[in-house]
Amino acid sequence: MKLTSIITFMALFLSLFMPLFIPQVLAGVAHAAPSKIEDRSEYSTSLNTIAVVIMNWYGSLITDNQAEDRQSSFNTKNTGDQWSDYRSQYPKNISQILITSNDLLKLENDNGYQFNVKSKFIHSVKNELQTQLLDETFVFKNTFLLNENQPLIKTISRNKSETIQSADTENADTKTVDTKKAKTHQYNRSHYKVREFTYAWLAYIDGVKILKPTMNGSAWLDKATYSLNMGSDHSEDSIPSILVKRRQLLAKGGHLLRSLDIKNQDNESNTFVIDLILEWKGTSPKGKPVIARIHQEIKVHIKTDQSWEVISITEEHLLPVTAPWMGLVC
Amino acid sequence: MLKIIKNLVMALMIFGPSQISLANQMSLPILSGVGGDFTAVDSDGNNVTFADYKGKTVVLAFGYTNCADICPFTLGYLKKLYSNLSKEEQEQSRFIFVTIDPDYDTPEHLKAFVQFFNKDFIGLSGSNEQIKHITSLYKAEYSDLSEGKVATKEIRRTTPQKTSDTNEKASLFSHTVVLYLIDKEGYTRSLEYTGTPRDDFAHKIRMLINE
Repeated sequence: MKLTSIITFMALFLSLFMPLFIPQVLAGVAHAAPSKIEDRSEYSTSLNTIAVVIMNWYGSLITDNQAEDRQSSFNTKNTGDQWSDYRSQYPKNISQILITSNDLLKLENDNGYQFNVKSKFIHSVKNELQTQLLDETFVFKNTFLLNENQPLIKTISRNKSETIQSADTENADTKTVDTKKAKTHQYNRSHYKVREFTYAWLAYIDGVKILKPTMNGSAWLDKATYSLNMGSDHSEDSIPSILVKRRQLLAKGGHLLRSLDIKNQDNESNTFVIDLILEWKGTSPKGKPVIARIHQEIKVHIKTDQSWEVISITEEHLLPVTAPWMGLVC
Repeated sequence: MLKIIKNLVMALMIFGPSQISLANQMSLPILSGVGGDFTAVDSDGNNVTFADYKGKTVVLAFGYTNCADICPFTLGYLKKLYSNLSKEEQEQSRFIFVTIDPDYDTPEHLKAFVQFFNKDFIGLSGSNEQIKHITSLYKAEYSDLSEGKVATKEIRRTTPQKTSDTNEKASLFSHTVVLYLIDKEGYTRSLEYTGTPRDDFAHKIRMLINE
């Protein structure tokens, strides 16, 4: 086949089929992440700060059925302390919780945010594994956007609860397909602690300072080294200094988490690395649109009291995925 | 080449739709961390920095003169794209071709190659380290395909290098096919390719010229 014919075919293919793809996509994406910069910024902040609460909420339910343990790891500052009755309705002896889907919606008339969560609880009853499927809706007050208060839960409703007997992973049926996944990844308290930390970090670098306590962040935020690689721009400095430097391009906008991985766990030195891929969308100080695909590695040390101290952050800006042909080589 | 089409179709099916919308929702966003300042050697053998082109809208491509298919095709496409621009717009823009084979592509030979398509086109070369640095800035990929070098007389070439060596050999490379559209401040604003309708591409160049 001649090269020109091939290119013509490619161009034709794109021109014919792209219009079919784009409307579907825009509909989906617009719902998930608004395109207007102001909305996008608010969406990122809302999602990240609410996710901190949600991660704490579920993570603290995973216990050895010691009521005080479950309650002590639950951050009531984030949620208000009136939810103990509701929380007591969850199963006991939860070993893992899988969040199977979630959706953040802004309520009309500036009336707060609604976060829908579908989840799967794996717990044991008399040494037998059981699965409970839950569909819950959390409604948050809107005041946290003023950066004065942490997100507070206004109402919680349980839309659906279904218990599946014999959720033994050996006999998993189609409804427990995620249970199989749980064999290779532990959706345990650590899983949620890492995510609670990560969402608080994302909110922090977007300018939300109220979540510092969630990150044990009073000391290490001034001590950790932050290394930044943005194209030909390389700098290493304290976190506050690098954040100022970043804002010379990433001025107004928000970070969204695209992937999270834990690597380089070293039990001897009690360290591990949180490996993140983030997407940033917003505007430059001159008001020009900017998008970034960011790789961050956060090295964490677990102290003897089990609190976390961040030692270093490395950040590299990758090629944002903006077109299907960008990875092609000839 | 069939692999390219396969990859293209796969890319569209898998992640094209959701990601394409990212760029489409905004007009020519700055792609943070893509590109930046670098040093290189121009077609006349002079040391240049990319900052020298500040104030101009740049279209930048990677390739090499022994490339038998996509590079001549790309430069042919850029030739037509350039002719879509008015004289004033041409003066406000620079079309730059960076070689990924600096061992073979001397500044003089590179000049002959790019100017075969248009006398205004700029060829940039440099040391292997410089080229590696430039490609890393633009997250561009390239790799040497030939285990041993290939006799250049076996390669279909636009502008063969003048040499009396009948056994001359060169490497063959695979490399990125992306065309980088860069604004007057040096920020990469769009990633295009030869499938982009030329009128659309020219429109984007005009948008950046008029910013």
